[in-house]
Amino acid sequence: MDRAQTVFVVDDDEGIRDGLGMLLATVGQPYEAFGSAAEFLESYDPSRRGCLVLDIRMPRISGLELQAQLIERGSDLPIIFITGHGDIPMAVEAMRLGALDFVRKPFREQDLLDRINEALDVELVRRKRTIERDDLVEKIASLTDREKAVFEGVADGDMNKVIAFDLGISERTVEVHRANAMKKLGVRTLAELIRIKIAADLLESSD
Amino acid sequence: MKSSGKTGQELERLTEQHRFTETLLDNLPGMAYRCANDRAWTMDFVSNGCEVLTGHAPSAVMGTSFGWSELIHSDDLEAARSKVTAAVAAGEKFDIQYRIIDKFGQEKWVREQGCGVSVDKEGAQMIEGYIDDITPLKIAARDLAQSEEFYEEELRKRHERLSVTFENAPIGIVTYRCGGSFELANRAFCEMTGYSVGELREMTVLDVTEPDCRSDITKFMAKVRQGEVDTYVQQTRYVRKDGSVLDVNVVNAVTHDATGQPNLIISQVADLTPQLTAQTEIRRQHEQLAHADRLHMLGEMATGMAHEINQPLTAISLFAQTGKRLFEAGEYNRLQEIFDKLSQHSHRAGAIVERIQNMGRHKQGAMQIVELNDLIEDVVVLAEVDARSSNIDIELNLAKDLPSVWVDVVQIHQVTLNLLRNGMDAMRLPGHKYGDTIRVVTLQRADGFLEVAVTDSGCGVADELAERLFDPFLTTKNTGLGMGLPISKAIITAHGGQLSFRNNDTSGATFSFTLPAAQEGVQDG
Repeated sequence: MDRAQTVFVVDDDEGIRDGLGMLLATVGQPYEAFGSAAEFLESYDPSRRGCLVLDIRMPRISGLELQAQLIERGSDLPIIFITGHGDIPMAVEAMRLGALDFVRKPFREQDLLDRINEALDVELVRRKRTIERDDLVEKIASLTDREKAVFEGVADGDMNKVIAFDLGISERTVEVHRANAMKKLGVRTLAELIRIKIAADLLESSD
Repeated sequence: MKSSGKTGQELERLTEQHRFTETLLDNLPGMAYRCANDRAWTMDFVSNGCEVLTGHAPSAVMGTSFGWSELIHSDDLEAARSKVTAAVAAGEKFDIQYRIIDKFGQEKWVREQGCGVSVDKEGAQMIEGYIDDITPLKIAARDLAQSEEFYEEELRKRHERLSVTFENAPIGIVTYRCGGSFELANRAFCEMTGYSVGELREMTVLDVTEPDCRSDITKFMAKVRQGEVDTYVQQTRYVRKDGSVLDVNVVNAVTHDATGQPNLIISQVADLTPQLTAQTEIRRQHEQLAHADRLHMLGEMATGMAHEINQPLTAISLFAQTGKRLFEAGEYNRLQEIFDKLSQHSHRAGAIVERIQNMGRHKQGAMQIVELNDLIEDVVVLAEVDARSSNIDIELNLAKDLPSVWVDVVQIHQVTLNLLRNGMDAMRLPGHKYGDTIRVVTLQRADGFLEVAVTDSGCGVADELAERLFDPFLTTKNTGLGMGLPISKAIITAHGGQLSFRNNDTSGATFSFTLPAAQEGVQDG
């Protein structure tokens, strides 16, 4: 478990907030507890990592409304909802909007801890992917137009000769651009270069 | 004349006497006569009354062959003749009545009194007598007879009608002496009480009256004997022959004898059982409906209550788990805090359960004296479960020193909760929330009634709904039965109060109900 991850607990019930807090503390999990959605939003920092344990029924701003606001702000914190007996329709709606899971009160503590761990793992993976993606985008953006054209030609399996002909440059110049591109992309072999091309294509088609 | 001496005087006296006799005869209302004792009764002499009586002038009758028998009604002639003949033969007077037909064909009743007389030495018989017109008497007598007959018949008919009516009346009718002993009883009364008329004659009105109700009728009879009352309507209970009890409505009326003394009491007795049964049935159905509505309402509130109880239970579970981990980790010093928390949240859960139990604590159908404010507060703590989840505050404004109320607590809880929930529902409608507060006010009005008003800041009541607001099955809610308001209204009406509503000037509506203040001693009644 990444120590840098924090469990954010938002529940209007002091007893539950208190109990959850103590439980998380005994398992050594950093947490922060908030009595209302507004209180949480006030101190919300998108760069903070971890997950959200959110009571679905709260006065003023409900758990669902908080989820919606976070989505609007582009947050990808995994959310575990705490629901009551009659809240299934709300829980379904929360899942539809991308909540990770929900637990019904009263719940087994181990269940909740398992969900929290799962959420933190998910968040970690998500974050790693995001970092990789950002990294890739950054690397590709650093290529010059020539280097990018050569990179794409190489990745498509074209011979240097063909690329040189297509771009109207010498084979030697193609060699130089190719070496520069591989250096900038941080790859040493052709296979690695092709993998990056596939990842970039996927990103492009998903955007 | 003096010179004529005694004979002259004698003659004068005789002449005078004759004139007097003639005058007398001529002026008699009837007719004096002398006739032959023959079959025809030929007339030797008739007085002037003959013309009035028969239409024939005396001259046409006297000394002619005309016989009196010609005038006599053929039906009466034989009887008259035989009586006269017998009387004359026996030398006795006769007195007969018969009809004659006068000269103008008119029938007349006459009375003839007379006797046989000897007029010469041979003993020839004449009949002398007097005949007068008794037609008016006869008519009067006949009319009298007819009218007596008529009245007797009429009386008989009336009596028959009365006795048929009496006997077959759908209500019990019974008569008894002012001392209470029964005289007459009709079939319905016998069926009602299970006694025969014969048995009832041996009984008094007290014997069929339930002991608790006897003083009532005893007092009435005493007043009747003192001439103080003539009628009395009472609701009482009879005891049947089989011992079962019967609720009846009795209308008593007194009859008087010729001297004006009260002699009989006539009671009309209506069996109230069907009426009471119907009332009981209506009340029972009403209670069932109210019960169904209460269950529905509690069902709808169950989610909120479950949530409310789950909160401390969840906390307890969390603390228990934490405590276990702390124990396993040997961190005993923190366990005390855990136990405190466990205790705190157990109490919290208990308090919620108690709050719900408070609502069920009272027995339905039992009227009791309670403080209105206490009752309202009990309901409000329960409604707060709902209110909290909808971000609604319930604001209480309870008047101090209110008189107590005499109510079925369960039912008034129901009404209050219903109004609070309706108000909150109105405020939950999207786009119709004009505030976060629902106000509950209690006060005593100028007319002495206590009033509870629930003011919401929701959508209010649409004009087209206002008229039908208290109709059954009218609902604007997805899960509503449409029975809440009609039942509430019926409950309040049954308590002697009124349920009404008005739209507020700003937003929402105010529903209020009134209850009469409990009066001294009312709980005994």
